[in-house]
Amino acid sequence: MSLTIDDPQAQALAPAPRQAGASLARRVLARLGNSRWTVPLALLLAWEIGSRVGLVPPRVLAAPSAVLATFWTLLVSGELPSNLLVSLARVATGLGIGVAVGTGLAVVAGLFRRGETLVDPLMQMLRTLPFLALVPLFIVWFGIGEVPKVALIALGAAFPTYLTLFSGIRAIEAKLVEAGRSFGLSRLELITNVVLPGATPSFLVGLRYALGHAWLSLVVAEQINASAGLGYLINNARDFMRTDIIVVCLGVYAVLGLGTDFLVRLLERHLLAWRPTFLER
Amino acid sequence: MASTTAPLPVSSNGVSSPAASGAAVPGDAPRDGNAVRVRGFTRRFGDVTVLRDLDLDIAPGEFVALLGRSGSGKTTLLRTLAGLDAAPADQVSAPAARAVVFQEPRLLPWKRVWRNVTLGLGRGRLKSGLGRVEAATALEEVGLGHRVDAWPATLSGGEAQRAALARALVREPRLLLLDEPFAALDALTRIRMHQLVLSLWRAHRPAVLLVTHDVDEAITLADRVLVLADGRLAVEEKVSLPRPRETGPEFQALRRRLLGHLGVEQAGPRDGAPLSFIPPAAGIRTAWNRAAAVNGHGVPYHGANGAQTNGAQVAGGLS
Repeated sequence: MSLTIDDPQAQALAPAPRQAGASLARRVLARLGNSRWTVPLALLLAWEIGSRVGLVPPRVLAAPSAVLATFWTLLVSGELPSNLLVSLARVATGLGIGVAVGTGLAVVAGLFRRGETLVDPLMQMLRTLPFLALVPLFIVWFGIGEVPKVALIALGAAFPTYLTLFSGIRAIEAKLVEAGRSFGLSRLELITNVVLPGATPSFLVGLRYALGHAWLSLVVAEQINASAGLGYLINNARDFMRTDIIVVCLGVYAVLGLGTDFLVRLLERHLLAWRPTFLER
Repeated sequence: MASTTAPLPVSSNGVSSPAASGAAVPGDAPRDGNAVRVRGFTRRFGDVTVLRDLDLDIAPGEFVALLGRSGSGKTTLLRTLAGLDAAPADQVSAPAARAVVFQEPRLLPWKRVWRNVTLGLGRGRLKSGLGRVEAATALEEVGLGHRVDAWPATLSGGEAQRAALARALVREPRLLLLDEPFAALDALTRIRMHQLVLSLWRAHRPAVLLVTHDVDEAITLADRVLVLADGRLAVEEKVSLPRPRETGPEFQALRRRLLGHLGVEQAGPRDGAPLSFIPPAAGIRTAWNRAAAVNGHGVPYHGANGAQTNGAQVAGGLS
């Protein structure tokens, strides 16, 4: 492995080659040395070789090829899609509730002095609590069904939404609000025309954090006696030491995280089209 | 041109009625004679009295410039007339059809230029989808017909300020309040904006209150120049020079008097001296002088040259 990585650099630094063939090899290696894919692919290759040779036993980590095969099996059997849907539904519900609550509280605290007095201190205090530490309490309160799972995800999503949107609303330029006022905007119009669009960039940052928290909460929540979902799949696999299934699920988590992040980025492109950063592209 | 001082029936709150009806034919004389009427207005911030027992009348269609040092309360007066700061109706009355152009354009970056222009007009006449057409017409008038759908972030400083002018004009104001709107623009753009403002003023005939630091700008544009000092209007100078106003003995004499009132002592030549010997006073913008420098070099004001010229004038003139 280390050879693969070190070689191109060594080659690139070497003095001019004597023949055309050496020059081509040098160019290929230089290309590899510059590619961001070189290291991950090399690792993957090393992993596969290690598994084949017997250096990495399957009960420690299944070979990439075995993982791929398992992925296909799980996909075709419908086991993966059905459990994935369960997990997605949990995240969607929790995220929906969390973002809605966070947004509502942020708007109240951001727009009204009284609202800030009532809401903000509590939120600032609660946010210092690692929300995942609430799992035992949630189990006591809500049992081990769907409720504690969704509640944990909602809680994880609500805080970043609240914090970023609140500071976004407060960061609106007073001058713009004043200009709006001088052109006869009513209070409601000020909110819809000036305050909320101005706070949208912050909100979208918050939404990304909320998504991150939601996936994290999902993983933790599904450790609580799940009978379906990706977490259930992982727990089951653990009992049978099926590292291949575990790795497949980890991969699915990663893809889900990337996918939702991509969705938020699409949303940003649409909602923040007016920003100079997007205009220059 | 002269300010009317006819006694006025204390029209309850003259703020509401006349223009709200939307008649707003530009230059139409309001019922109570004046566009702006301020009587005995005092404004304090804590212990500091910013405006003291102030009286001011602005006739319909009159162009008034308000000079004053920083912190003299110019902007406070403008904000009061704009309705941004509350004031007792019996002391201050201004038409409801008024619009402000601020020092910064203050366009909402998330609305396209034309949406900025029609901001706040949604409820009334623009409901029927006329908005874009009206906005485009106003933008055409300020020379921005090609940027109707642009995002504000893509406009230059001058363009943004033109858009702000269009936004003010589309309201057909009877009172146009300009709060140092050209201060942040470069010298050439400022001259173009002066011409634009004058032509718009001629076409629409709103009463104008221009708050500025720039004595030359005040003399170039206004019918009447006021100096605010110690919370009162300390000086009133009528400007009867024909427009477009070129520099000349009268211009210079007026300029010197106003600068004196602003506390800028001037040494050097007396009346009738050629312009280039008159120093640009420190802290006071001299768009006009810089323009002279530009013409003198025959090239559009590029950096070091122009700056040097100005520097030399300051060094040579001030003592």
